[in-house]
Amino acid sequence: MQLNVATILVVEDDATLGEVLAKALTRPGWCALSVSSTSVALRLVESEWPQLILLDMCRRDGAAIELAEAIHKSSPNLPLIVLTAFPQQKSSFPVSTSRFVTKSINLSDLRQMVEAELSKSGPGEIPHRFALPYKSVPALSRRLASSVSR
Amino acid sequence: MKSNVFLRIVAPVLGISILPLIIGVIGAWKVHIDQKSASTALSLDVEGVRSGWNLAIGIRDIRTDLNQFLNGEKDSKQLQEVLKRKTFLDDWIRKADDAAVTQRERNSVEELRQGSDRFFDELKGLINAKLPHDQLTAKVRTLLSDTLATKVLAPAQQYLTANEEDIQGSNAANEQMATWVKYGLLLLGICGPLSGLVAGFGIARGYSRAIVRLSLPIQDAAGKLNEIVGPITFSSQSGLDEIEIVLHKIAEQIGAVLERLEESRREALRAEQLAAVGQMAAGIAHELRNPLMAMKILVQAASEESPPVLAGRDLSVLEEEITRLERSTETFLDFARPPEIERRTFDLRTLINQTLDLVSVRAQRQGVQLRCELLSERALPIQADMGQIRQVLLNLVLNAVDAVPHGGSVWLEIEPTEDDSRIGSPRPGLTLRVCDTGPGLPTALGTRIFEPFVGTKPSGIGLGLSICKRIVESHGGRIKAENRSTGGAVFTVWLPLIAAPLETERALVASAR
Repeated sequence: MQLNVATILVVEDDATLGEVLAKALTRPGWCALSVSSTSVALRLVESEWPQLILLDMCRRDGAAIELAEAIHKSSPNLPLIVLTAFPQQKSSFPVSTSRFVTKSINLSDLRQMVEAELSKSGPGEIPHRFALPYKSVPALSRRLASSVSR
Repeated sequence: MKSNVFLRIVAPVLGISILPLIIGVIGAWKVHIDQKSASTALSLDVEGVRSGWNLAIGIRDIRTDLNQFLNGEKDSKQLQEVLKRKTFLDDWIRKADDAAVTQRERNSVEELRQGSDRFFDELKGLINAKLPHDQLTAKVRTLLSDTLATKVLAPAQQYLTANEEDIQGSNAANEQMATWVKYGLLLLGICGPLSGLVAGFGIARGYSRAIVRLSLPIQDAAGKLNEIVGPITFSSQSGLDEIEIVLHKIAEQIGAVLERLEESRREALRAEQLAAVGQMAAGIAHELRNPLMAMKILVQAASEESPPVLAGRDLSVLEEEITRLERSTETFLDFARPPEIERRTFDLRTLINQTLDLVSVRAQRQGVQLRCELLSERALPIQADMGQIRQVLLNLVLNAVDAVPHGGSVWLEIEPTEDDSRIGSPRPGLTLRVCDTGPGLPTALGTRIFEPFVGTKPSGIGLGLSICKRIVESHGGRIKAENRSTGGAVFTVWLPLIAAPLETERALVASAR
C-alpha cells in the first residue's frame, strides 16, 4: 500500500466524461476521484484533502465558479486545473492561480500538466476547519468516491 | 389642388379677358348698327336733296317758259311745251316721296303734288279755254305768280330745306357717335390693361406667398436631410428655379437615404441571422465536446495498454477522426463566440512567411505552386491580433489551394494603401490579395459567399469565410471576393495599419453604412 498517493478530484457534471478522466488519471502514485455534484465535491475536498482539483467549467447554472471560490477560500493553495470549452472565460474566472485547459487537450498533455502542478504543491493540504491528525488512505477514498458518485 | 389652381389663375384671367371681349363685341355691334342706319338715312337724305334740286330746276324751267310766253310772242304753243314738263316734275315728285323720311318732308311732297296737279290743271284749262290774248296773258301772269310760286315752288323749297337740315342733323349725330366711340375705346384701352395689371399682380402675389409657404416645409425637409446626408443650401427668399433645384437635390438625397436604409436593413438581417446561427453553433459544439473528449481520452489511454485492445492502426484512425470532429467543433465555437482582439504590433511579412510555410506541404502534395509578391520592400508593421490575422490568412490561402486544380498556382500580393472609401481623412492601411487560378467563384453566390454555411468546397462546414469577414471587420478592415478577369478568384483584404480605438471604429463603421 502506497502512502504517498496524490489524490486528484475530478469535478465534472458529465458523469461519463468524469469517469473516463478519473480512470485515465489514476496511475501509479495518483488516485483520481470523479464527482458530479458540487456539494459532494466540497465535502470531499474537506474529507479527502485532494492534492489537485480538475474542474469542468461547462457546468450548468454557473456552479463551477461558486465551487472554485469556495475551494479557494477553504484551501487557498490547492492547485486548480479548469477544463473549459471557451478559453476566454479565463479573464472572468475568480481564482487567478488556476490553470486553464481546453477540452481538446491530449491525454499526455493533461498528464504532464497534472504532474507539474502536483510537483509544485507537494503533499496535500489540510483544510483549516478540519485539522485532522491523519491522512486518508487511497482505499478509503476510492470506496467513498464510488459510494457518492453512484 | 386642381380647383385651387382654377380659382387662383384660370378664373381671374378668364374674367379679365372675357369682360373686354364682351364690351368690345357689343360696342362694335352697336357702332355697326348705328352706322348702318345712319348711312341709310344719309343716303335717303341725299336722294331727297337731289330730288329737291331737280324739282327746283323743273319748276324754274316752267317759270322761264311762262316768262318767255309773257314777254315774247305769246304763242299758245309755248304753253303746250310747258305741259310736257309735267312728266319730268311728276317723276321727281315720286322720287322725292320715296326719299321722304320725316313727316314734314312727306307733308311738303303731298303739298307739292297737289300744287303741281292744280297748276297743270289750271294751265290745261287756260289752253283749252281759248281766251283772248289779253285775258290769257293776265291769267298766265296770275298762274305764274300765284299758283306756281306759292303752291309749287314753296313746298319744293320747303322739302329741300328739310332734307338739308336732316343731313346736317345726321352729320351732327355721326359726330356725336364718333365722340362716344372715341371715349369708349379710350376707356376700354385704359381699363383692359389696367385690370390685367391688377389681376396679374394679384396672381403673382398669391403665388409668391404660396412659394414662401411651400419653401417652409422644403426648408424643413432639407434641414432634416442635413442631419443625415449633408448640407443643402437654401434661402427663404428663393424663387421657383432654386426651389426646383433644391427639390431635385432633396429627391436625390432621399434616394440615397433610402438606399442606406435598405443597406442597414440588410445588415441588421445578416446580424440577426449570424446571431441565430452562432447560438446554434454554440449549442452543437457544446453537445459534441464532452463525448468527444471522453472518446479521445479513452482511445489515447487504450493505445498505452499492452496488449493493445485494438489494432494500433485502428486506434490511430479513431483518434484522427475524433481530432477532425474536434476541429469542426472549434470552428463552430470560434464562429459562435469570437475571441476578444488582443492587439500588438508585428511585421505582417513574418506572419505571411509563417503561414506560407504551414500551407506549403499541403500545396506541394496537391501540386499547387505557392508564392508571395511583396509590392513593397519595407517592413509592414501592423497593429492587430496576430492569431486572428493568421487565421484569416490560413483560411484564405487554404481555400485557394483547395480550389486550384493540379498544376495551378496561388499567390499573395501585399501593398500599402490608403482607405479612401470612408468619411473623414484617409487612413493608412495594407491591401492583401489572395489570388488563384482556380475555377473562380460561382456568380450566383455574390456577397453571400461570406455568409455562414455557404461554401464552395465539397467538404467543410462553410464557416471559414464568415469568420474571416468578422475578424477583418472587427479590426476595422474590409474583405471582398471577386473573380479575376483572366479567370480564378481573388480575395482582397484591407486592414488599417494602426488600430483605431474600438468606439471610434464602431462609429466609423456605423457612419459608413
